[in-house]
Amino acid sequence: MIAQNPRTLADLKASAKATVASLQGEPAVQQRLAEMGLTSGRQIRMVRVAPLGDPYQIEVLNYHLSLRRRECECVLLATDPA
Amino acid sequence: MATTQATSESLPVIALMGNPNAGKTSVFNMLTGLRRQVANYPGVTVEKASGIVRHNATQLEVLDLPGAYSLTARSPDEFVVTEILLGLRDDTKPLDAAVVVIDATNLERNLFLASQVLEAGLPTVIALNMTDIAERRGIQIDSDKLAANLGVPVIPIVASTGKGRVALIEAIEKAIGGDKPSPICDWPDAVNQSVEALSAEIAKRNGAAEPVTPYELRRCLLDANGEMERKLLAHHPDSRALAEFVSGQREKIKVSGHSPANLEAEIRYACIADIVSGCLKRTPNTQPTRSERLDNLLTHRILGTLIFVAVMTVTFISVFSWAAPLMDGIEAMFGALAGWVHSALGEGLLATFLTDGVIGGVGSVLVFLPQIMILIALITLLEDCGYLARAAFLMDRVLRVFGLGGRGFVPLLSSFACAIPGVMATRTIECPRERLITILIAPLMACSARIPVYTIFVAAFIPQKVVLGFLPLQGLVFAGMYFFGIVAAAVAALVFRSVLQGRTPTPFILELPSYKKPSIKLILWRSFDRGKVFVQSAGTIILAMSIIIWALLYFPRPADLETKVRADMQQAGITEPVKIENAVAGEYLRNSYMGRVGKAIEPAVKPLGWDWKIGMATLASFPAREVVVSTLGIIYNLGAGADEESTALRQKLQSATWPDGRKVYNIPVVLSIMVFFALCCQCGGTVAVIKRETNSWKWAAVAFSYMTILAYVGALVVYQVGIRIS
Ligand SMILES: Nc1nc2c(ncn2[C@@H]2O[C@H](COP(=O)(O)OP(=O)(O)O)[C@@H](O)[C@H]2O)c(=O)[nH]1
Ligand SMILES: [Mg+2]
Repeated sequence: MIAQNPRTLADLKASAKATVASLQGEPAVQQRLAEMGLTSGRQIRMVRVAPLGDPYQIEVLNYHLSLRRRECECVLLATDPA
Repeated sequence: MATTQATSESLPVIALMGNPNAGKTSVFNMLTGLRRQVANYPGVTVEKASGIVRHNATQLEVLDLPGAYSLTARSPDEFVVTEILLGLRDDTKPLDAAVVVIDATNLERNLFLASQVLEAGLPTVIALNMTDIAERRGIQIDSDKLAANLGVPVIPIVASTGKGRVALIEAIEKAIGGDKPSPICDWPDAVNQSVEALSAEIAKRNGAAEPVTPYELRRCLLDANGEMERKLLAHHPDSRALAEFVSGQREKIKVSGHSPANLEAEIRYACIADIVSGCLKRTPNTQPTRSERLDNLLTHRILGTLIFVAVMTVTFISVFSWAAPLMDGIEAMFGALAGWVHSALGEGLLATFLTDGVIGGVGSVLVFLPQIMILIALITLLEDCGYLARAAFLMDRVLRVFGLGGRGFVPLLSSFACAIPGVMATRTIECPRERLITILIAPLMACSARIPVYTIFVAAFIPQKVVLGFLPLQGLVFAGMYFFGIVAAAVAALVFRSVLQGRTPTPFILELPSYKKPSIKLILWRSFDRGKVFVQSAGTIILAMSIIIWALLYFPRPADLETKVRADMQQAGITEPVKIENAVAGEYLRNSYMGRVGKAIEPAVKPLGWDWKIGMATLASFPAREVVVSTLGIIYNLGAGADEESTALRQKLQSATWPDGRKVYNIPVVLSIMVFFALCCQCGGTVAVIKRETNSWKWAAVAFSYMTILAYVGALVVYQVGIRIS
């Protein structure tokens, strides 16, 4: 089996939904993201990418949040059954 | 005012906490009736706002704390909320109760902070705000049930209309002195064990020092790179050994299967889900909300960008065109006042001191108010309706190249009108390092005070040619100076970014709130408030600078100097009183202390191609750039009235010579002067506002020095290269 790179929030297409699996990267960044609601098992939705390709707009806990690509890469997604 | 302060010493103190935009300031205003005192907490850039709540026989002191998503703090600024909550600041009395303002439209995330506050061991009241909007959106919250689940009172309110005021005050009164709330979350054993171990370790090493609460110890263990850890360790003699102990305990927590960084959020959000499950109902939205449809347009690749450009242009032009007549009005008013004082007191020291020193100084403070108030009003409008966050979203990619973030765009744009409101507008930037860099480079934007300086020199020395068939050369030079400022700012930002390495990377986290109708009350209030803050904090500094410069330009005044000038004029056959007056004024000025300093520093400005007159006029314009024009006017015997449109001044400059007969001004000299004024920090208001906004003279000094050095070197290079080319 070839180890595959896990899908992160940065790979999510606009309007797609996904579930957070876990966080990675700098602990301080992980902590901030978790506090904003990006905890494991959370449903999130990619709303759009800014016109210049970065940052991203996501929906979590019924509110909208903008994160840069760097931070989105810290959010690992659960492999969707669908 | 005095009585309020005397009694406020003994009043119970409560503090308002909550997420950004949850409505803390609205609750504060609702409770106190708009009366507040602002100062800065020492050592940080955070504003301290306090006021008094009066209701029947009750009086309470209330603090409006900065917005926070969490008590996790990684900078001294963020730490203020945590410190005040836990009574760790010497400058603030320990709280008697905490009031957490939560936004009912965003209950779960707002409860995160609330759940942290509940563990701090203070009587707590929850103010459930924005219940009107929640209702409109079909969000139903059973506040009694929520209160039961949380174990603290939950009072539904609408802060913007004052609904629920009395209920909230009564709940706070009842809470004070009452029971502490019990924590709503349980911590895993591994965490509890580590907290105990750390407590024992500190006790062992400290001996009799004051004990650290388990709450603080947990913050210390869980906050990666946190301020609590820094605080505990900094005061400790064995800080290194203790730091190792802390990381050892973190490792233990990790081994037990928990990630110290995410543990708290995982636990709290799980508790919160349980707590709200029975008391929160949302009508599921099957179609996109109004806010999302607006976003589709406003962040659209093409339309969104066009709208952005249009909004920013209108904002910028409004500041310019609405402020200009008001500024002219203020100037005219102070001019008339000065004229009246002159006619009442005649010439002489007192009259001149009052008119040129005091009235001129006060005028030069107040003249900034229109720009500040209009700009703050417009920015508050954009912020309050939700667009400012979208502007940051659109511009983030561009500004990131320079180590800044999207929120820096509007302050920097504002600085093209005036750096003072620009620097004040950086309060919307959350990351302290980004905010500091933005503050430091904002004064490099070509503000409106540079226009008179550019105008006089461009009009006098840049030929009225057309290049490439259609581009007017004068206009090109003007535009070039604006562009030059932007490039200088970009370079400075890059340098500061590498010099001011942040301790930890602050992730860019920008909430995009739902669009809403802006509150006129808030806009007017914020605009007046910022105007007041400016006058209070910058007023004295600018006034003092104006008076000092006035004195240096006025003294000494030996009477024989005037007699001599009059005699010379008579001999030359000049009889017009105005010419004689101007000649006398010019001679006094050239002979003043400032004039002497100017002559003394001529060797320092000669490499820039300047004579001592330019040097002296530059020194005199330290409080405000544009003063250089009128000072040159007096030096050249044209009186104080010469402005950038004055043809007489242009002719004087064009014909000015060195003692050996060479012309003083040529293109390299003119460019060197303009480059100097593009880069220098000759603005007392800017220096004062940087001091106020960073709460330290250090950054004001840094801004002033780096810009002055940059200006000198820039002018030197331009002149030296210029004369070699031409
Ligand atoms: N509709 C409505 N708007 C509110 C309410 N409370 C505050 N606001 C508005 O929300 C915005 C942010 O409020 P503010 O007090 O500045 O929030 P802060 O950042 O927590 O200090 C302002 O436009 C307020 O007028 C409320 O209960 N209902
Ligand atoms: Mg506020």
